[in-house]
Amino acid sequence: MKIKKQQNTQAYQVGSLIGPTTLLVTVMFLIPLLNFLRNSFNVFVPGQFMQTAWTLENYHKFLTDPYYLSILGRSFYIAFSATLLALVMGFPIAYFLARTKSKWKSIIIMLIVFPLLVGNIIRDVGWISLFSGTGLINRFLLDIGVVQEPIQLLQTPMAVIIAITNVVLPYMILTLHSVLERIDPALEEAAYDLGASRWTVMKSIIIPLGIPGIMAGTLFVFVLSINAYTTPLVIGGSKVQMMAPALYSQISEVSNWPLGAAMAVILIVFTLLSSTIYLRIIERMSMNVRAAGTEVKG
Amino acid sequence: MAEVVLNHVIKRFGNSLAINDLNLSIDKGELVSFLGPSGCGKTTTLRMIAGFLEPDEGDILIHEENVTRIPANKRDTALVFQNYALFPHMTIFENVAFGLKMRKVSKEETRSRVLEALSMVQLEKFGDRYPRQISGGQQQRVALARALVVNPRLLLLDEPLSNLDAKLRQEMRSEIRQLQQRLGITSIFVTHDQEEALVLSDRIVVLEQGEIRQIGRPQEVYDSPQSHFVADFVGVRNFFNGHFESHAFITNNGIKIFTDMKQKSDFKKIGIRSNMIVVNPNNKEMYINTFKVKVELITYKGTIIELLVLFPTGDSIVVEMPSEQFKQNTFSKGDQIDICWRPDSVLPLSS
Repeated sequence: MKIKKQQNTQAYQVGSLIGPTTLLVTVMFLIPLLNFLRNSFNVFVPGQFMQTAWTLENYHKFLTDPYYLSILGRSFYIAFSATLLALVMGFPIAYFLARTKSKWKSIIIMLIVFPLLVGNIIRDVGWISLFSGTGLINRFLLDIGVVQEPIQLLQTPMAVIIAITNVVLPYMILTLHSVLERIDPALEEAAYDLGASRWTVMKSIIIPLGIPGIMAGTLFVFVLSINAYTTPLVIGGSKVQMMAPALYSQISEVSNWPLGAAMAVILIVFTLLSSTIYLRIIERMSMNVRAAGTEVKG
Repeated sequence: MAEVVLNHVIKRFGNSLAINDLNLSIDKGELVSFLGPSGCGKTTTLRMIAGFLEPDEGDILIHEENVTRIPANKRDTALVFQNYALFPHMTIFENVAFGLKMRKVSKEETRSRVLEALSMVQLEKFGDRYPRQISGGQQQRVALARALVVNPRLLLLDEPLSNLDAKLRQEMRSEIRQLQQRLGITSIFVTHDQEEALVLSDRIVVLEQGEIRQIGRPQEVYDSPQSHFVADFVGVRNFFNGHFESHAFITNNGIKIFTDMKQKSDFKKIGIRSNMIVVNPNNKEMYINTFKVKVELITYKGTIIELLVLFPTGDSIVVEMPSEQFKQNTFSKGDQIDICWRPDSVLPLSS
């Protein structure tokens, strides 16, 4: 009886701790989401808000129109590229951080996190001053005579990719770092001692054991990137449209709530789907690593 | 012929001197232990020999080749790590095969050599398992097999038994020794456990603060430690400070202890092993050194009884007596007893 009572008290305590959050998530997140889902089946009538209906018209419109599909395709391409870039750039830094014994380590981590303390808009304005026709890069290129007139840098996919990578890189580094840090340095030494080169140690020890971090980091960063709003809007403009700004403009400018809602649902489903497929592939590639995730000492 | 030579090796970490002018030569087929407390430089020395650290000064020679600047992956040494460092994402077979793969050994030869190495450590049936699926003792054996399979010129063992429980440690100890002798492989064994060093080694190198305090066969180090530090490390628990007057040692509190010192000496310290002291013998005179002391504490330790006894001068020493003898010769706390030891049990020590 006493145990039962204790369990009840415990359940009550846990409930009172997670209750408010659960409520908040339900009210603030789930209900609007379901509302969006519902709206996506409605009909858009210009001049009116929308008409209640059960139709797949909005989905049909999106999925058959090359213009809309290109936005989805571009979002994927940009998010994929930014993720890859962040991984390639972040891995060496994360590895260095995981292994350094420098007293500056915490300072370096602060520096890595620092960009996150600067708002997206401010950061993007910075990129504009770099990329624009009269920006630093073009002035430099003109000065040294590589080009005769300013080249288009802003409003190119490349600029958007670079700017998004800049935003997501800290997340990638921190996620990778937390996993790489837990790999016992003695494993590297053991491999090295058995005749492996530095590169082989990286390839056959660090990377396979770092896969959980690579998986978490890339997934996290991909979801952030494909949902990017400010950066594609400011740097990409109308030429490099991505899903989030495009669907918002459907709602705010065209007042086409049903299509905007359908685009939102498509973006969510697409993100979930590509993440799931990605996870499956990685999982299959690294069954052993995941199986060996926990090391037993004794 | 010397297989490993350390020549005036010096290693600094920042401003602190980790290894101070180390000179050592190890013969082919010999197993040498580096014995010392943590921070004495034993692991640093091992890591320099393995190639993970570069000495600041001096040379390291393996098989007459100067390897001082050769990195670990190009050295013909194999290290067994304290925590085994088995690759968790590889099977036992893959772990053992790793070194052969790096040496580009053919598939068939790798297979037969790995199986041979695994059977050497009685794990031939475990090839398909992952490290986390086997016990600590088995992991230890795999680590050994992984090191030995590449036929290294030099086997380095960094406190390999410290993570095992006492019983397993004893088993592995003799297993390592048998294997090492059968293969005739030159080995260096780092440990802080004096018993381990005594059982395993051909020679023991006692290190303190980056310097060699004593080198010798286990029995030499055990029977005649030369300094307080070494004596303490090989289990001597009773020490007296004082000075010699001809062959007798006068402690600072005036206790006169006869020794077998032949000529005049200026040692300022002596040590006496607890188990060389006899309690209430029938033939006291035989021992020459006889003292009346008071029993302060009696501690039962299974096969032996440990006594803390007090001299009238206030000095206390620890005496071990066999439990059997204690049963026939009972006394209790506060009683007066006779303790005796022979002059040749006294160890003159430099401080």
